[in-house]
Amino acid sequence: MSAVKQEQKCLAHAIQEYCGCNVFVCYQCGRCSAGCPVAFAFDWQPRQLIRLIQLDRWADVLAAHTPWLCASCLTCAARCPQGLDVAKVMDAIRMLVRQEGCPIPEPVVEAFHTTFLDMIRQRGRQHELSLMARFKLRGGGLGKDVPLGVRMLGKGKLRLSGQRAGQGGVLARIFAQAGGKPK
Amino acid sequence: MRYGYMPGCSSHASSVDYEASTKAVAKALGIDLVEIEDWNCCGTAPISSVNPEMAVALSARNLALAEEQGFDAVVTACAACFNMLYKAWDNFANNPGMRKQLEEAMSDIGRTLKGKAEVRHLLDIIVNDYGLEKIEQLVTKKLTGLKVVPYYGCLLGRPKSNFEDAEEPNSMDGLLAMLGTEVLDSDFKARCCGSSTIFTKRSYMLRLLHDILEDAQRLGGDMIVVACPLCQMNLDAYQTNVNSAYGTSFNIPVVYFTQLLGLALGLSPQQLAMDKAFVSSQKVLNRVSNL
Repeated sequence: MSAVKQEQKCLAHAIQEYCGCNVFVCYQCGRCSAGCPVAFAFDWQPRQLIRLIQLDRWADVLAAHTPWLCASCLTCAARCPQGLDVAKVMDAIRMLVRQEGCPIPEPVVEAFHTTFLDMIRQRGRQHELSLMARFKLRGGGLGKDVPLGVRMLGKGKLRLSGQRAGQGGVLARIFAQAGGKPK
Repeated sequence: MRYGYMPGCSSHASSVDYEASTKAVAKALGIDLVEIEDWNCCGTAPISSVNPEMAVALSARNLALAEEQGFDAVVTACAACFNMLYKAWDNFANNPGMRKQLEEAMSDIGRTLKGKAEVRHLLDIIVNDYGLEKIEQLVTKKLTGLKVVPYYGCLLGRPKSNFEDAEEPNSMDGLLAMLGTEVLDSDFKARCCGSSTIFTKRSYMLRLLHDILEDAQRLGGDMIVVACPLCQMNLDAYQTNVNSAYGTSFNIPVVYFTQLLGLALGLSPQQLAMDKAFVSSQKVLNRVSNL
């Protein structure tokens, strides 16, 4: 991680640049953490993570597993009495981890996201069978879901061939316009 | 009102049953759903966590296509597509900075976006545009004796929605009651099913599914009713995984609201692709209304 950047910039401001959220509105009421359905799996509760950002604790925030386990259900955002979109802050932390070149705390989650995006860029529409196969090859636990996949194929809930849209590099252009690559 | 239909990627595979029942019900009600040509994937949760600007730009393209093809509204039955399309529409309408960005992104791919087409979920169209009174006149088979647990999940109401509440969603409740079912109110109706994290963090997500299923059973529900492809797949296809992990014996059918509506309109379970689910609803339907 680049030490220079961290000395120059306050963590809360770096987060704000990504998502427009000002974490200093948080007064630690804890509604986000009480309502979070995945809180039991987190290393830091959402409330604690926001506090760490306020305290400029770069290393703790960038190494936190919490943002990578968040299911993006947006309950925290809907309930915050200060209108802080905590889920957006989670997104911003993930982007910051990538930008700083830090180790990804949950590589399997990142592998799924990357595969999902590649599929859109290349085909324009998801093809669930290819998505799962590529994700499994990228570290998503090959073999675990094969029996379910076979049953889904049998029911026509997975298709061998997929559809395409936005051909001629249209989707790739949108990707390039919006920042070129994953942030 | 000309509805431009966006089926979403799962309509061709994991939610073929939602797609089949949506089309069958729309036909029975006389709602014209014309597919938007060349629509693209909305990116759903994964893209928002990688690049939020790209996320809204993808949905902006779908909105631009709908406008160009002369539709007044984009209609989708998928909660994730709805969520992303609505986010793009909201940004375009209410955030001048984002509006400029989206206009540039669209002009870069030779399209223009004026923000004329609304974004609507199929449930909203059926309940609020078409209306329960009109549907009631078309119901040929009341689903009396069926106890249902409506489950809404996250994306119909959060973060913002034009028809559903973030905490107390209820659009399906009135519809299902009108069809003759006994509607049971679960505390977990707006809880998260785990969405695509079922693929990456399986053991954690099974706990979310367990809690939703357990509450439905506690209430005495015969089935769970959903309006989202991912909610259906997670609760249905992974029910056996929940049972192995928790030593439970859940066997609760998870059906789409379009399927129950279709049954009440006199369509057969086959026409509504009800045989595609992993947990069969056959026994329950036989018991309550000989469907």
